[in-house]
Amino acid sequence: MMAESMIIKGGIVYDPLNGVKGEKTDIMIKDGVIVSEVPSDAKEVDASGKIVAPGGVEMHAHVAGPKVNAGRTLLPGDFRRYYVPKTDSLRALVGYAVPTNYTTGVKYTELGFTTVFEPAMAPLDARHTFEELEDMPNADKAVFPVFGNNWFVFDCVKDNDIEKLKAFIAWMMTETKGYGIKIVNPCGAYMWAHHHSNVTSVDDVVPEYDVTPRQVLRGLAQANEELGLPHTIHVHANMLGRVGNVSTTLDTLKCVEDIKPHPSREQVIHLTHLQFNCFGEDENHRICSGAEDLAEYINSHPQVSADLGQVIVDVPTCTMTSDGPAEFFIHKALGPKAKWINGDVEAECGGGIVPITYRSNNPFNAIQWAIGIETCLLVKDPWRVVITTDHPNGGPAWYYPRVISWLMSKKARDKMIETVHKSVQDKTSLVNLEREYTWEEILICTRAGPAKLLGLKSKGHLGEGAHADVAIYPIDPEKVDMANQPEEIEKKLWADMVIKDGKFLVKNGKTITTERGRTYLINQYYKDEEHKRMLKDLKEHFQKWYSITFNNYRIQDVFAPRPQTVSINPIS
Amino acid sequence: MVEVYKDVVCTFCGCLCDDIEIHVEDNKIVKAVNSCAISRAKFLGHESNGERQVLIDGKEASLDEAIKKAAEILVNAENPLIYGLASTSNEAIRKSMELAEKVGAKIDNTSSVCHAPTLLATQFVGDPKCTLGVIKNRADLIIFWGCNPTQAHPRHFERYSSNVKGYFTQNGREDKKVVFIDVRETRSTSKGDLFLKIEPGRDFELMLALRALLRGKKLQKDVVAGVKVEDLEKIIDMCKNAKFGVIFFGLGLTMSRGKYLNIECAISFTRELNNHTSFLIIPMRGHYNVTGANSVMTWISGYGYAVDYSRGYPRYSPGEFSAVDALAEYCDAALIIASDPVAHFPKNAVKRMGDMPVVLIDPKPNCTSIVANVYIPSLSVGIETEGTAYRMDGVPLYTRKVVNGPDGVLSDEEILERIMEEVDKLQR
Repeated sequence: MMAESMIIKGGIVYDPLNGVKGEKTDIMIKDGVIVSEVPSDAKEVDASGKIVAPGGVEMHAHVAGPKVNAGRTLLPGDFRRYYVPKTDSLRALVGYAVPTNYTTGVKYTELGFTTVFEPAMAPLDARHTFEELEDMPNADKAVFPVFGNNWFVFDCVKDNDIEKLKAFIAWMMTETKGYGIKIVNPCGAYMWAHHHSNVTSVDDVVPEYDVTPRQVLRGLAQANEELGLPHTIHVHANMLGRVGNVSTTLDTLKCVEDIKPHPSREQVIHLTHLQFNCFGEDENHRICSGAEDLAEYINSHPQVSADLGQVIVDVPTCTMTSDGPAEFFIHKALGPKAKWINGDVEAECGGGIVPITYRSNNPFNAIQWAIGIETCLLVKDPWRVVITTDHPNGGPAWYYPRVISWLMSKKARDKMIETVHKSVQDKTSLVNLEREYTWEEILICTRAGPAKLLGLKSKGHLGEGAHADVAIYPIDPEKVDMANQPEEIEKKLWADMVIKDGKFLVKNGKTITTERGRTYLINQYYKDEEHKRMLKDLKEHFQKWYSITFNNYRIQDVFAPRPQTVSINPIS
Repeated sequence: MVEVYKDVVCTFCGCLCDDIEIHVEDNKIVKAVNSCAISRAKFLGHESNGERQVLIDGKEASLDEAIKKAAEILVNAENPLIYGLASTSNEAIRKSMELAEKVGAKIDNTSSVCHAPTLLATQFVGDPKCTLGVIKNRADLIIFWGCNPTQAHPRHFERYSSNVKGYFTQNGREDKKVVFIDVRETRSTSKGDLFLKIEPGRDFELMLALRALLRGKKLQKDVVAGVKVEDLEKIIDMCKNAKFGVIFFGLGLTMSRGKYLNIECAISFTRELNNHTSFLIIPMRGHYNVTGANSVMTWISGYGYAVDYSRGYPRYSPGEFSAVDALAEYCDAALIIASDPVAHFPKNAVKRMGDMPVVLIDPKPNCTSIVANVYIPSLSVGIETEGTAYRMDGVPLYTRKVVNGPDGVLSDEEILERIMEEVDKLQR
């Protein structure tokens, strides 16, 4: 890729990681990275009166793989909601809640996001996931294979053989080009596929293996920290979507309280789409917000990070998870007209897909809407809470500007509270919250924070040596009072200019070209003797329980044509 | 010297068996171990059926000329159709989609004459399914409806379903109950614990009766669709008492009277069974990568088949943009990839194909090459070139190259790439 030298002049720069808080300064780019000096003929880019920020980092969006594609199949009408014919430089854009991969890539770029992580891949389906990612342009990407219901993990955990588990994790990452450990409803998806049930607490026992979600979480967390993968375990907790589940969520976080983090970080667990796992239970056994309990725990426990999974109401969207029993539950709750796909995967995981529209006039959905923002406002440290909609589960990511307007403006929140079901006023603390996020905090929650949590050293900041991924928004924070003009936030958080690896992708708010993004991946086995010991058992495991051969499992290098290997740093 | 390739993926049917051992001597396949009869014939006989000669209007031509001609045909047409795709790699299907967008073509795959009703039904109600390994490990009740695995998917029983041993089914066949529902006895039906012979075209009625019984309703008849109600009650009992059941269904259900309504009813029946126990449903897909064709089309256009790009963005209309309808009604040129519509399509569609320019890309000459103005032979995926294919349950596998193809013959993917380059020149 040819990248020219350039100097972005006059912008109001926010670079929270390097302590730059809205200062007028120049950003210099050469050979695709941020530098401190450029040749005198470097191209000048005028950013005066505009916010200049690092490219956004999406840490949790379902953008590729069999379940995303199944979501498309269930929503044929989605491709009539948004369509743009092909042009000389771009292919056709179609789809809204679950768009085509090409559209997803282009829309994320226009939002100013240059890194997008797919957070739940059934390892057996890795090839499919990577084929779709290859068709998603621009963004750098990575995937989290799921581990929480894998039979081999159960075997290791049951024997408390952490060395073998570490060897298995490193092997799985390498074979499927994974980046981090995803855990979805640990043990629950297994119980659904094989016993038509679920687990209801972290101490329920899987009969055949005699293991509990607690053991699985602890085993994987310990192995992960000892292995030194770039990110902590990424956890979708048990009991998702159930009234009162905040107690299970807190139990989940407490499970790993005493696990020592890898020396490179403070965290040991990331709680994903917290909103879906933050339901309290009132005296009538109905839903209320559990945000205060969860936020208090996060505030007092630096080893925890989380992302929102914010709900967007009155927009048709689609739930899709590796949590088979949760999706069955959602489809039953929505009634006989709900479409439902189930997708169990042999010896590894499960999954399900159900289209949904969260309704503003539905008390349950309205409380769900409130919980996300409420928690985000109650958590004090913006470095440990990331803005997501669990795209498309809570709603399409294209609503991030609106979510940000709710966080930055009490006026915007109050206006919204008036239009949603009044349960929000009694069952959540949202009306009482005065906090308004600053630009700096927003830019932490959307780039600096997630980049740090994901262990991406070249992302989320504009320091020397960082990838030259820059988003420029047409907002002058000195002129526009965000709290009083929330509609401005919503309009102008679509980027005016986006530069990736030193190359213009968006100009004047329009995508002008597309590029192939990097794939971050782990490509490193664990200690030779442990690797060999593990492999001996694993081959037998494959022979017995899989329907494909061991030799056809590893995905070929062609599936990640622009790989960026990330090394692991095991502690001895 | 004999070279041995282990764990080769067979690119014939939707089973995509990946344990084939291929022996090659002097660039010729001499032995195929673990193969079924069909697979053996495919691997050992792959060189038969004629020379791979590029033809324009029946005369020998160069590849360059043919590619240029193909591009001209597509660019000059008002309503070109691209069709086939189920017997090639995902990589080639992705290129086909790009080409369709470039020239504003209709694009459709062979599922529009096999499992498209399954896709339509899924759009209506969803589809509770799983990978075949889950069936292997767990299923203790297997219902085959309107399909004949013994002859169409010969290794299905031994690898994935009734005869294989799994985690919860360590005694194999003894741990399972197997039911066949079909309009006639086949080589498969004798292998079940129960066979229900149903009157042709009455699957929907039978399925509705089963749903009624499942809901505890009393039927007012003793016989439904030629099947005794007491047998139906027996099936309902088997379903409810199973730990984990599955329905495999074939073209007997998708292409008989009722079509997508049959499948919608079958899926709804499966959903309702989940109020009692684990129950899933899986289509028996035919061509080795027809599942991939639906899948790739969906992530690129939003729709699994019957797509039109004439307005520069994808639109979907089965019955209008599906190949048979488009060919019979209004298409004025066709590019056929890895398929033989002349051998299989209704008379009107084939008749119009004789009157329009047709380009065929296929490893072998076939009935369509007789009417084709341009025939471009290609490499056979899974034998002479590699590529991705999806098994009937969606599990993606990477097929292998075991012998070198003839000099100068390209893969489908490369040919399509070259055609696109020519199209770009013409459109400039």
